[in-house]
Amino acid sequence: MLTDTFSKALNTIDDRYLLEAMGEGTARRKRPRMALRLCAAAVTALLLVGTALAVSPALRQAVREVLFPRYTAETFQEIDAGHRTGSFDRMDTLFTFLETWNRENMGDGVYIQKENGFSYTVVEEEETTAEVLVLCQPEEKILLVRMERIPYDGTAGLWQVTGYQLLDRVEGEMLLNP
Amino acid sequence: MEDEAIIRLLFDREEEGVQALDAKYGGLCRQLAYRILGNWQDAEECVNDAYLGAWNATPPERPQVLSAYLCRIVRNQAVKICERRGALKRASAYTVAMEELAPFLAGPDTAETALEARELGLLIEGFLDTLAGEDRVIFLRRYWFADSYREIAGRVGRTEKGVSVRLSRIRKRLKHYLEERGEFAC
Repeated sequence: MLTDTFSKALNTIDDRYLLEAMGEGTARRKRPRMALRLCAAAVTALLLVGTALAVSPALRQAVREVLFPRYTAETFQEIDAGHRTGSFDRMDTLFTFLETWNRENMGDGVYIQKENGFSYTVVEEEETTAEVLVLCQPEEKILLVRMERIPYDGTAGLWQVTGYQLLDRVEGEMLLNP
Repeated sequence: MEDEAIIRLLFDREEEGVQALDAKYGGLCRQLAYRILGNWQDAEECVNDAYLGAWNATPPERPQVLSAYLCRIVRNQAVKICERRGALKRASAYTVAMEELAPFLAGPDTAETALEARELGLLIEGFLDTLAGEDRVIFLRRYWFADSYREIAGRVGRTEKGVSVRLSRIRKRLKHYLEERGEFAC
């Protein structure tokens, strides 16, 4: 019978194959459990992301925007509800908005500092957009304001505040020091 | 006790060597014998015969790897017992495993091979070398050690179904390998 012959022949194979099958050889690898494999993959991913964040300011900024979204739906609703002002001058647009903020208590107890004028820092500026950080009272808060220049016939365009977000001071300063 | 120490005891004809063999590898040997013979009493007898075989062969033989050496003796003994039983042989994990292989080792014009077992063993080694490590383990655990699908699945970290599918593919590859080399021609 061929299986008998085969079985006898199996008994003559080299020890190294038996050791491997018994788990004592070099080639035996038990597949790690799925959970361990997932853990290993997660750790690897974290290490890769961490390294990428350390070397890429652009990536850090992108991650920040995901983790700390600047504009909430509520924010945009307020803007659309009539607080939007327009001016050909960007800073004039900003100051008008900040005055409105204080007058109408838009920050619900958080006001814009105005001891010697508004204290602000331009975080980003492009030809048609700008983001500005404005100091608040209490000082633990900081206001991020986004402005855009909307096309307007026959002019260079109107600057309008299109969004804002109250941030913790620390978060805001991270935007200044990426 | 280290294998070297056990071998030294056997060489010195110390009966303690056999006791040490049993203490270290008795479980492994009895499990292997049981899978082939399907009965614990027969397995116990088989293992005792294997110890006697090891005692008689050592010296002059000096096993390179004691576990593999002992398992080989046990398997050889158990398979011989199985063959002697012929039609009366009890169903066991080993007989089921061999029945799986039968269709892949025989064809319409099957002739008994004249190859010595060792020559065929070399051919089988060549086949095993074509397999990935895990597949080798699965194949040998099934057809050398007569492990169940569940035991193999637990050992390699797969499902039983996965092992079954893997073995099916390996058997087909084995058939193709042997046919290419003119053995067990269809």
